[in-house]
Amino acid sequence: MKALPLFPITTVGSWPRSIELLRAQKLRRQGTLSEEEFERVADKAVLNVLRLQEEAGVDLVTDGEQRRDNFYSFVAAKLEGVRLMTLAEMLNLVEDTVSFERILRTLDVPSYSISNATCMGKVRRARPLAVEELRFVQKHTDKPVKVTLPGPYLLTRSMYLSSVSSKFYPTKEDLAEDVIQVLSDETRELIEQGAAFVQFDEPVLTELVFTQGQTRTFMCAALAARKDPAEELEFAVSLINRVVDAFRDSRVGIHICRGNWSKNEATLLRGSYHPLVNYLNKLDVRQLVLEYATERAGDILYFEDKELGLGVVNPRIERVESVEEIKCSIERALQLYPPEKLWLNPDCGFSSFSNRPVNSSDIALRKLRNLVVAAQSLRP
Amino acid sequence: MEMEKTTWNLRIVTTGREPATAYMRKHQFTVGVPLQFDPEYPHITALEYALGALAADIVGGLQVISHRRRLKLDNVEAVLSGELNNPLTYLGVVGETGHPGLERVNVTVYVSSTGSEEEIGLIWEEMLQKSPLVNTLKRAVKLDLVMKVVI
Ligand SMILES: [Zn+2]
Repeated sequence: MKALPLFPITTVGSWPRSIELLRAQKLRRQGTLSEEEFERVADKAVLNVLRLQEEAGVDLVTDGEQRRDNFYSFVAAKLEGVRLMTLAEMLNLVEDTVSFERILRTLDVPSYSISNATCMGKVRRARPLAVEELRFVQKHTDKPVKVTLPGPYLLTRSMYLSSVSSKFYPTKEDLAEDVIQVLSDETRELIEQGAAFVQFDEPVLTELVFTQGQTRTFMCAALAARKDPAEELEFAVSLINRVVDAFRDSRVGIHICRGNWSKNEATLLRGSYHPLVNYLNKLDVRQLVLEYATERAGDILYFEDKELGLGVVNPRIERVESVEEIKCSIERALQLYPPEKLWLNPDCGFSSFSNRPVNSSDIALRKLRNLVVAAQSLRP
Repeated sequence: MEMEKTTWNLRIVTTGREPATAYMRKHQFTVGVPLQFDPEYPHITALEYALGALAADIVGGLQVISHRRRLKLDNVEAVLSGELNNPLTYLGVVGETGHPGLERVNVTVYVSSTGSEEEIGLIWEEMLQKSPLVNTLKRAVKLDLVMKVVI
């Protein structure tokens, strides 16, 4: 594998799906499209996303999460004991129905259109979560590949719905044990298979510190909020470290943002990473993939001994950030980080939820192109 | 047309205790006070039933019409919010003016179907023309209805 250039460029994972793929996803959910037929449409979509990334000049490619319904619920198809449940089905079962309804209203989506992976049995890997997908990408590119996975805290928190999960796991802490097993096994196989970068998405960590009275996402809604965010953050850190502990020699990263489900910046969480610094410093991961293109994220902070995957374009706004603007952001980060610790990426995926892209493929591509030009101009 | 065909009857009984019970045909349901501000209030209020009935008129109407037009709607879901002109008038707060009724009702209807946007649009138009509660209430309140097609 060729050495990476300075300021390696990746995406955070997801890419907008074609109409054809969205329809195929829907038909597969309804059971009217065979697995083979779906894979044929999805293969084509992944190849297209790969070409776009290569043309733009991205250094580590992803499969654009094209096969996934959303960035975490896809695990339901791969795990025993986990079933997809639409938010409509959850309306009756969540602990705090009033805030759940408020969240749905803010999302401006019908409750049937979003699914949550919910624990309804003992959780075990029936199939690998992303190994097959990695193999497919590797077959069709020479570039190193990044694989994104939902983090252990997100999975534990979002999958645990007391009314159906408690029969199998008395508490979410009990469920976490099996989630750690699943993700450790998966990470090992991905690394053995040659994944250059495994990124865990933990978007709900910000909710723990910023949501006093604010909207929570549905991913956290199944469980009533705990009083003390510090306790919950310690729990999250311990889960992540137990998963990544064995892979310190590999490039494992954590992506943390403030939500990617709306184009309306005003409805998304706001606040610096500052309240998370002590926790993030404790994570045994090589890279933190963080959003900084939105002013809601505040100033760039320094994290000890870590690479920073610096967010330099905002996936949610239609305006394409100029090369100059992106260079300025990189230069700001270089005041805190040595160049070899700096990676570049958009703030988040361009379509964390398949039926809710935050931008078109065309705009996403133009953003990546400018990112590449900016990085190239700063490389020696 | 005979009188029975255009008239609907029900009886509602209160016994001094909440909730009241409404009886119609072979069915019954219970109703709490006209309106309540306490989110923990244990019964469904009359206002909530009225709003629920309007939303059901819309989503049910769409399903019936689409069935007639032989287009399958996979999912129809409505989100409604109703705003009173002045809820304090109902409470009898001294000095409060304004009428106690609904000022506006906003309804967003999400529809998923394999049909085209045009076909779904025709069903929506027919529902607007034919739904009984929509056509009653639009004479009395600002009714803001929006339909969104979702893949
Ligand atoms: Zn994100």
